Amino acid sequence: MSSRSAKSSREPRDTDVDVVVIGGGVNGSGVARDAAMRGMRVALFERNDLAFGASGNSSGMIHGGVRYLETDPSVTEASCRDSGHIQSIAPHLLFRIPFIFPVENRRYANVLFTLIDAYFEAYDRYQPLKHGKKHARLTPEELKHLEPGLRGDIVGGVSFDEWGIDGARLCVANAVDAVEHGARVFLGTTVEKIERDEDGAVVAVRYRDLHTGDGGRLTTAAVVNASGAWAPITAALGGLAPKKARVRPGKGIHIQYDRRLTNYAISARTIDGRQIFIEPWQNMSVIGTTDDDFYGDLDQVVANGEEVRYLTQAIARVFPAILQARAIGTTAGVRPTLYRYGPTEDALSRDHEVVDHAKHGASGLYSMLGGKLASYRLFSEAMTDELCRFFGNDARCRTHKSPLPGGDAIVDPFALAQQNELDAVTSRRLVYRHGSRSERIIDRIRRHPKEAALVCPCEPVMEAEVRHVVRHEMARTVNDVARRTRLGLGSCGGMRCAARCGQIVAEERGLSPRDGVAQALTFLHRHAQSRSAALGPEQARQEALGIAAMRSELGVRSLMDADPRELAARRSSVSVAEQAPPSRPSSPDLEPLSVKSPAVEEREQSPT
Amino acid sequence: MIATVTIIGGGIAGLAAAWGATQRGDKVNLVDGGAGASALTSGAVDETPWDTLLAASMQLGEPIRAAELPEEVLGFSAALGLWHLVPAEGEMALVVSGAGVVRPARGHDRAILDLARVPIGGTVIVPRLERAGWDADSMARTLSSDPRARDRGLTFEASSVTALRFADEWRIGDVDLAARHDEEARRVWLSEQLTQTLRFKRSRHRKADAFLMGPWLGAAAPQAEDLSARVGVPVGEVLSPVGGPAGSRFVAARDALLARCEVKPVRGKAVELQSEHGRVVLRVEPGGQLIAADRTLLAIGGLIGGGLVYGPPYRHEDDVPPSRQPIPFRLSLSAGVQLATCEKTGVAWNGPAPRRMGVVGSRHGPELDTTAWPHGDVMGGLESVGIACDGVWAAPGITVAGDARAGRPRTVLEAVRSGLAAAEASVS
Repeated sequence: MSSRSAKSSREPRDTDVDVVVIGGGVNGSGVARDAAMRGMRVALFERNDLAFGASGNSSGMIHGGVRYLETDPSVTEASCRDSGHIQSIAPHLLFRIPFIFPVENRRYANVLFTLIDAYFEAYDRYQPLKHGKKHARLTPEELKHLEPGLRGDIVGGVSFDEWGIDGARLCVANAVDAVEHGARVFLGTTVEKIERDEDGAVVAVRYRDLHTGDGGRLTTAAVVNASGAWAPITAALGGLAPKKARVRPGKGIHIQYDRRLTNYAISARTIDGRQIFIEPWQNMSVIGTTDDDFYGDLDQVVANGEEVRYLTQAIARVFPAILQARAIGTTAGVRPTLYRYGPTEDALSRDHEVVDHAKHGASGLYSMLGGKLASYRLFSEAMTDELCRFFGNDARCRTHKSPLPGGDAIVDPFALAQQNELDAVTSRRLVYRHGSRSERIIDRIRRHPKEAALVCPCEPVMEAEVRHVVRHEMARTVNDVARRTRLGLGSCGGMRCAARCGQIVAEERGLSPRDGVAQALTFLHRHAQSRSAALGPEQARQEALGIAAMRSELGVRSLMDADPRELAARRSSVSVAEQAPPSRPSSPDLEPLSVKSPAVEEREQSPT
Repeated sequence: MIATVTIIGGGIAGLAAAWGATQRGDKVNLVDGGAGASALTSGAVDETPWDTLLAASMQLGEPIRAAELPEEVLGFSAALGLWHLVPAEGEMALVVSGAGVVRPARGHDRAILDLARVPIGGTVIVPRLERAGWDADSMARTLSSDPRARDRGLTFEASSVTALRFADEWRIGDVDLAARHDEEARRVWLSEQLTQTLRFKRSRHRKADAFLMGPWLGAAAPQAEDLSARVGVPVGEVLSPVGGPAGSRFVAARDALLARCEVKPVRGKAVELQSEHGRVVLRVEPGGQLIAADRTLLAIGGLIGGGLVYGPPYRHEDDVPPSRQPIPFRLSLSAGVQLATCEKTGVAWNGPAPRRMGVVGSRHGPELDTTAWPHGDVMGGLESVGIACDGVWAAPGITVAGDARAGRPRTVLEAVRSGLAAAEASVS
């Protein structure tokens, strides 16, 4: 960790850290990890939570970008290549999503079909890079056999292969690994100013904890602006004109359904001719996505009813059952696409670019613009290479070889379930999220068998996992736990688990139980708002019941009066290594009576 | 001459109306389409929404006293035999939700523990049981820090108590476990376990003034009073979750009361209501049975009960706005009444009149993303929509009671009151 190379080309400076990374998305945490692995002292600031923005609200695919083959074949190749690397460093986080692309009968449909076939043949060249299968040409009958729910006048189709991933887990894995390599991560902490000396070089950042209001200053030699769609705002904090780090923010939304409606992802065409899809994603189906220029508040991005209808209408043309399906949530994020004035959103390049602001008179300040989930590692590598040149550090990038936390060994979830008397589904989901680190959570359960209790029965999430993500993955609130474990994001909408999760988070963090209840309410309310854009007829009824249940259990009114700031995290800096587990409050009670272990004895004596 | 009344809905409002009408000697037909909000009750009995009550008491700086209830509401409650209602001018009951929130209530299902009846400064024992979703330690911690519990100096203590008897009881549902306490032998056994704990505590000079159990004390009838009498200190439940035993106890008490009133419910879905020569004729599916009556009373519940339906037109495959759904909110049966919303809660008693609803401006329905959920004082669209009423009248020959009415608080006692009022209006 401390094998910091001498800065040959720079004056050695006495700074608190070498690099400050602003932004806890996949690029920010990717750079923090890479830089920390190459021996730099890193601090990462994130004003909300890891994966709060586009990274946690993406389509959940590290696809090769077949869409970009036409305009940006280099993006397609880079995406495919890096998709292969991500598979080797985090095998537990990936799952195969086979796609079918039906071709509608319209003018020149057969010519079009042949062209599409040829197009995917071109895409096949990149498939080996990401261990994907080649495309297949399918007849209408074959398509209907694969997906009986397909409708419409179809002349045929092709299948191709992509990989799904949980973007939030990918971010968290990168951030945790960065911390384990010595980085410091400040969540819920915003950078208010990037200070520069008289020569324009970066000297420090001023930051403020959004919950406590405490400010601080950290001296540094370099600042990486990895704040995605926030990039121009962040650049302005360093005294640069916002357009020096200009992006074209494109809002995209997804709708999640309560189960896997199809086994294949299916492409569909929107009313304005865009390609969208319905994909089976873990235990849900997801449809997406829109791409609209966004001019609003980046901290308050939500899907609205118009966007939902635009998507469902298009999917319903090929898969009408979507209209009867039960939507359980929507997600929304804003892509930081490279700036160009004029082209439609879809025609914009998905390429990425590292901007060295030395050319704008701010040496040591860098902006990461553009990019996509699939190429985050490559982008982070390019950024860190730049930092290495800046510091004269000759360490090589290892992020494509060194496994992410949990990715070092393959764990068999079913064996794990048998050995530890867990439910097979619980075990499978646990291993998906944590890979080999599931063992650490199982260890907790061995020490405290009570923690095997399910907090969220939908996902499912055990109590031990909630405690683990609070202690070791920097979760501070119920919202953070949900982002890391999908707790409460399933079909019950958190009605059964949010309050319990709040209690656990409050206990782990030494907050009062009332804070836990308040956190639960905040989560429930935000999640309900995201869901209500997509409500169908039966769901409106369930939603009314949900509102009534919440009024009765927790009181909706008190939620509205609560200050959201108060509900945010209290501690600004979290470091996995130094995060001491808070002592569990000792029980005031003694074991009464003759029964030693009531539950065990009851089961033994049981007449049933 | 004996009047005939058709009551649509077997929830609390419909039951109160049926009881009120039979008291007056009317002939009652009650049509019940299945479980609604009343069958999903938490067991708390409110007159005013409790968060409104709490806000008022905070503003006044003193606890709110129970208001007087009309004679006939008390009469109905006594006939039902399910609730304990706080006497007028008395201190409000304090009940505990499953999430560990202490809140005031005008009354409660008799199985629910009322913290106001625990001596001030007392200790409430929360039994540690191996049941999913029941964590006595965090419950005790949460409750001990609750401001309303602290006001009374109450301490909550998690304690190992043997209360589960059979091996399957760690995982069976709340209602199933509650049903086991309908048996007297089981209650005797449980009271022995609780008494032992009490003796143990007292032998160590520790306090134990009440037991707070999960929603497990009776599925057919509330059994907490019997337990309390056997143990000698109050024993009671937390409020039920949605679909918990409080709802099944209501259904059992309802069926018993209807039997005593000699009302035989018609099981089925009311689909059409038509006025003919001063009488109203109701068609019930399946079967197409026709029921004629002098008056009809809609106690069909809001969206939860299914009496109101949200039907966004854009959901239709053929992409043509269907003729039957000109407005996204409609009744589950066709009848000549109008819908309305009320935008404010809390002030509903003497607040703005409900706003009548017409066809919405968008073919795609209203913007639920901004209107579905409550925001501050403003009620959410999903809970404020109902039938526009003038008093209890919605149309000639048609009265409305309970959650189906727009612009009224959706509480149990409000449903009772409006049910009784609608029954009375039906005979006049």
